[in-house]
Amino acid sequence: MTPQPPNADDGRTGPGRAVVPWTRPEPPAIGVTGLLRRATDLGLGAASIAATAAVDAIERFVPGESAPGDDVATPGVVRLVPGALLGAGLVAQRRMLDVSAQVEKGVAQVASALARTPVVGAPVRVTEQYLGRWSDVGEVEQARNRALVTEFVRRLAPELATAVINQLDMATLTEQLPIDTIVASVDIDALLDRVDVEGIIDRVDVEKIIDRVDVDKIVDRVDVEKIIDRVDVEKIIDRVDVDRIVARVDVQQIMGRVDIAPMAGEIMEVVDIGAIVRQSTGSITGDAVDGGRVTAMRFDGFVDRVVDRILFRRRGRSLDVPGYDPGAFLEEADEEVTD
Amino acid sequence: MDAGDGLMETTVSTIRSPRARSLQGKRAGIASRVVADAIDWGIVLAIYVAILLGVAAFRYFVTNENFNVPDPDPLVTLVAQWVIAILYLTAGWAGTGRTVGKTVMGLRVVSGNGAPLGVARAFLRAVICASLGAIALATVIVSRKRSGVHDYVVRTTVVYDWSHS
Repeated sequence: MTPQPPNADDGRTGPGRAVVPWTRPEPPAIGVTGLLRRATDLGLGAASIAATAAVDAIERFVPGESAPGDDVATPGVVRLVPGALLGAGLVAQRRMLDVSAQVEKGVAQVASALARTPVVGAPVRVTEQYLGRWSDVGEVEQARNRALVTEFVRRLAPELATAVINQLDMATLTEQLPIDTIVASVDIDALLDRVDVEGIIDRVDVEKIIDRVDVDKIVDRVDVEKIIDRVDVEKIIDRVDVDRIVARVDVQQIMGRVDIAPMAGEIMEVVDIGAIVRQSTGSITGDAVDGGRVTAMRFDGFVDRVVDRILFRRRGRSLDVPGYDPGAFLEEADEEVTD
Repeated sequence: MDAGDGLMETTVSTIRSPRARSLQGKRAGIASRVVADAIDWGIVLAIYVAILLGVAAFRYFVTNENFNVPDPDPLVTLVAQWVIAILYLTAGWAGTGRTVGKTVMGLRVVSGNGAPLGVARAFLRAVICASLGAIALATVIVSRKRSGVHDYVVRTTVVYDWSHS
C-alpha cells in the first residue's frame, strides 16, 4: 500500500473540500518491541481512565475534599495523582521499549549472523521457518477474531441503542430541546419544495370526503334571506343583455306551440270589432266629411238669404218637416251646446 | 225613422258643429243637394265606364279580338246613362232614402210626412231627376220649402240627416 501524493486532479483540492495535510501513518511495529509497545499503551490508557474515574468517584462521594468555587486550573492533590502516574508510566515505557529495541536489534544481528554460518545456519533457518508458520497461523486467527468482533459489535450496536432509547424519558427530553430555535433554523420553503403536493392530492379520496359532508346541515345554517338582501338585482338586470336573449328566442317555435285558434276566439268574444270599425270610420267622417257637410250647409243658408233678398221676402224659409223629427235627441244635443 | 232612432242618438250627440246639430231633420238647401247629385252623377258615369270596360273585357276573353273599349253612339250613351241613373237613384231612395252622394253629404230623401219612400215614388222621382237633371234642382233655390220640381211632383223632401243607415 503505497500512499499517493496529493494531486490537483484527485478532487481533494476541489471547492468545498478542505485540504487535510496527509501524514503517513506510522507503520505498525513488527516484532517483540512493537508488541510490547501496544501492550503497554493499552495498559497505560486503561490505568489512566481507571485512575481518573476513581478520582471522580472520590470527589463526588466524598464532599469537602475541595472547597466550592475551586478552580479547575488548581486541581487538588488527588487529581494530580493519575497524571503523575501516567507520566511516570510513559517514561518507564519508553525506557523499556528502548532496551527491548536494543535487545531485539542485537538478537536479530546475532540471528542473521548465525543463519549465515554453515553449521549453525540450518537449525536457525528451520527455527525461523517454524516461527514463521506459527506467525501466519496467529495472523489468520487474529483476522478471524477481528471479523467476529466486528460482527459482534455490529449486532450489539442497535440492541444497545434500543436499550438506551428505552431508558430515555422522551417527554423530559422534548421539554429540554430548544424547539423554537430548531424551528427557526428550518427553511420552510425548501421543505415545501420537497413536498410532492400533486402526489398528496392524488392520494386524497375526494368522493369519500364529500360523502362525509352533511350538505343539508350546511344549507340549514345558510341564511338565504340575508344573501338575497345583499344581492343588487338592479345591477344584475343592468348587466343583462335583453336584446341578445331575445335574439336567441325562437319566436317561430313558440308560435308553433301556441294554439292561436281558441285564443283568437276568446279575443273576438271580448272585443267588438264592429264597434271599433264604426268608431274609427265615424271619427274619419267626423273630421273630414263633416267639414264639407257644414260648409255645404252654410252655402245653403247663404244662397237662400241672397235669393230671399232679391225676391224681397220678409219671412224666412220653412225648413221644418212635419212628421220627421229627431226630437229628444236634438234637444239633448242643444243642451250640450249651451253648456 | 224607426230603424234609425238608436243610431240617431249616437250620431247627433257626436256631431261637433252646433249648426249641423241644430239643422238635423231640417230641409236641405241647394248647395248640399248639388254636391250630392254631382257625386251621384260621377258614380253613374263610373258605372257606365265600368260597363263599357266589362264589355271590352268580355270581348277580349271570349272572342279573339284585341282589348278595345267600345265607343258607342252619343245617343246610346245618353240613354244608357239615363237608364243607369234611374236604376241607381231608385235603388238608393227606395231603400235607405239616400244614394252615395246623399250619404256623403248627410242627406236623406223622405216623404212629406217623414216616412221612407216606396219603390214606386222612388222610381218616379228618379225618372224626373234623370230626365230634367240640373233643371229640376233649380226650383230648390226659390222654393220656400227648398223643394225641387220632382219634390213637388212626388211630394218628397230632402233633409239633413247625418245618422247612419
